[in-house]
Parts: sequence; structure tokens; C-alpha cells
Amino acid sequence: MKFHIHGENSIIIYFDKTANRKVLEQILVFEKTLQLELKEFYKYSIPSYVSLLVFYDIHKITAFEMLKKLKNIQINTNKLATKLTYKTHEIIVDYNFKDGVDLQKILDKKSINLQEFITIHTSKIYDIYSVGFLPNFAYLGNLDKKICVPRLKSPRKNVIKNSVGIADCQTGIYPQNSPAGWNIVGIAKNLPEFFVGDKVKFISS
Amino acid sequence: MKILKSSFPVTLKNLGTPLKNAKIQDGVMDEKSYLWGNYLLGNYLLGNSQNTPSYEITFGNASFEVLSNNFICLTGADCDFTINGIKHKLWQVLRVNCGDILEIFYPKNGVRNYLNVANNFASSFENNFKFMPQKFIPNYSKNLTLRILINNYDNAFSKNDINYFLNKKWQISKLNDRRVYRLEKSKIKPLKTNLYSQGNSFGSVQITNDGEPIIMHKDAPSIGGYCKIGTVFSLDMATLSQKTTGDYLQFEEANIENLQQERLIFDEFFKK
Repeated sequence: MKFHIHGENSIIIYFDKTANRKVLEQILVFEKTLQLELKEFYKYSIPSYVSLLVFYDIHKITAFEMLKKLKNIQINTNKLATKLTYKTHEIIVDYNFKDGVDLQKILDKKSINLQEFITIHTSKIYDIYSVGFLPNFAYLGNLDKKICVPRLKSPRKNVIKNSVGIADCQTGIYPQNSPAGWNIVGIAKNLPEFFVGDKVKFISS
Repeated sequence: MKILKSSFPVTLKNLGTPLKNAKIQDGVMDEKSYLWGNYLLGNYLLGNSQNTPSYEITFGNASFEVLSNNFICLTGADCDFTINGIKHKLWQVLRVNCGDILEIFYPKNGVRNYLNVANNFASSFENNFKFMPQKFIPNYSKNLTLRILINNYDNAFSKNDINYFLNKKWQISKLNDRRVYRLEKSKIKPLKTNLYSQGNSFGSVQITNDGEPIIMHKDAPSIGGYCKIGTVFSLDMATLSQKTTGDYLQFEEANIENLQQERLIFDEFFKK
């Protein structure tokens, strides 16, 4: 773990070089511990992939004191693991060429048919590594390499709400009409509230 | 107060909240002007706290009709300001009456004005108007230096590029708004292109693969994927919101202790 002063009231912690489920849970357990143990100084935090950005109250503690306190946090997984629960959300998706404006292009590029694409996209349970960019936009990983495609060279001006996109090895759902750089493959029928650490399973409608 | 016209939408804003709707922070862009307005009004027992909402006006050309007798204070961009056609100064408490027309003209310097309105109308209020001493009134035509904490922790920038970043006189591109201020493209080349997205804070500066710095202002997304070079001091961000397309600015590497101390003094002064 690496701890660095970030802004005048924030410290960033890097947990690892590579994102995976284990690192993600380590970040979330650390965040929870911090909220309890440094309650007096803690304001809010942003977990994302391999890092945690922590904001603290500069009226109560200096940057270097906070750095020291963060470094001294002892993680007791046994005590906390039970308190952190992760939901698994099931999202029903209509994979079709009308809503999935980039679907045909991906099938051509990857030399697979629609059924194969659907099987690959729906076979994994994805982890939510980050939430942001738009309210309730969840970054889901990791896609099977067989369907990873780079993001569009320049973003579309608008995609409709609930569009399901893929970019590199990530997938996600646009929670509102928005400009979008991801490849759109279908439309989601339901959209729950997402939290980092939750899991997502896609089901073909 | 009734808004009769404006160049850009006028919005009612206060200090805002962090991490709302996937944004770093919402609320007023120029915290300094806004707080001075409430401070001048608040000091006169007009009930204003540091978080009383204010009208944020962008590029002037706005007029308001007063709907009830009250006290106001206009701060921010240097512009002409009239009440019923009579010129008045900014940065002072003024009495207004029902039916008065306030006009805020296009700024000569700066971008944003704050029209703070008294929270309680004190009928016994006497003529002893509160104003800001001339020497404290900001001069927005001056070149801006943004103090920044360099945080190149991903080693995404070479030493040379960091020096170039700190020595260059940057011009603000036409892409500047409430969310982000983008600067001109440059020869800075991030050494990494596939970093994991990470949290941003108000003032964080990301640099695109084209060498274009993007400064995160109010309403910027809380997650970003470009390489981050550092984070600008919040009070300098307030001054940045008075700058626009074509204006120049520079960065200066700062020290965390000095920034925290300055911010604490500032907060202490406006605490109410």
C-alpha cells in the first residue's frame, strides 16, 4: 500500500497495481475501518479500482498527522468482513441491433454470431470497480477478452438511457441520455442503485 | 427577486455538497466573492450565514426586479451595476425597495457575479452601510497563478514535462464552464495511457494524451481516467472562475502546510 498527499484536504492510497476482486474488497474493508476508527477526522472517500481517495477535516488534523493515522490503521478482517455485504444485481438486457448500434460491428470484428456474443456477455458475474462519471454509472469488469473492443475514437453525441456499453475490458449501463464513447450492444430493462463492490449478472431478455 | 433577463441561466447557489450526483462538489464557483457578500450582509444582523444562497450570474447582462423591500450585496466580476438606472458600487450593502430594477452589465474584468440577498429584512436598519475596503476588492485583470500540489504518483509524467508544466504560461481554451477548465494543447506526453480511473478532488488537473490540461471545477465528475499531475488550491480555484477563454495563467508548486494554513485562516474569518 502506498499513501500520498493528494489535495489540500485529501490523501490517496494505492492498494495494488492490478485491479481484481481481492484488491477491491481490501479497499472497501479499509474504507469501512477508516470510517469507524478515524470518524473524528474522516469526511468522505472515493474508492475506484486500485485506489481510495480520502477527504479529511483540516480543521481537526494536519496532512502529516492524517497520513500517519492512515498508515497505522490495523485491518481486522474477521471483525469487519461480516459487516460488509455485497449485493448481486440481475439486469435484464435486450441485445438487439436496433438499440445495440455497435453490435454488428463487434460481431464482424470478433467473428462471432449474436448468440455467441450474448452467451459470453451473460456468462460472467461482473464486479463494480467504480461508480461515477454520471450518477449511478457503474464500471463493471472484467469482460471476457473474446468481446473486448476499444472505445470509439470520438464519442457519440447521444445514447439513450439504459444503453449497455462495452469499452476495452469494461462494460456498463448509461443511466441517462448522455454523450458516450463506449460501444453500445443493447438496452437494459432495469437499473438498480449500484455500489462499488456489488456484483452484476446480465440476463438476456 | 424576479429574474427579468440574463445572458446565461442565473442559478441560486450556496457552498454546496461534495459527491452529489457523481460530481466532486456542487455550489458556487467563486467561493471568495460569494462569502464576502454574505459576510457584508451577515455582519449587519440581516441573518445571513456563510451558507445563505446567492444568485450566481455568468457574463452579466442580467436584470432583476425586486419583489419586496430588502438589502442586497453584489460582488464578483468588475461591471457596471445600476438600480433604477442609477449607478452603484459592488462590494457593499444596499437597500432596495419593492419594484426596483437591478441591472448588471457585461463584466469589464472577471466572469461571475454574486447577488446576495439579506435573509431577514431588518426594518430598523440604519444608513450605516457596510462596504468592502477598496484594497480588498480583487483585481481580476491580473495574471493568475494557481498554486498546485504536484502529485505525480503514477509516474505518468517525466521531470522535464513537470518543469515545462510549471514554467509555461497557459492559455485557457474555449472549453471552460462550471465543470472543467481546459487549457491549450501542449507537448506534454503522459507516459501512461491505460491507468485505472481514480477519484478526483476539486482542483485536480488531468492531462489528456494530447497534452491538454483539464482542471476540475465545481460539478466535475468525481472519477477520472486521464493521468493526474496535481491538485490546485481551492482558493485559487475560486479566482480561476473569474477567468475565461483566452486568459493566461501559470502554475506554481505549493507546499501543503502553507495551503492548509491559508485555508484555515480563510475559514476562520468567514465562520459564523
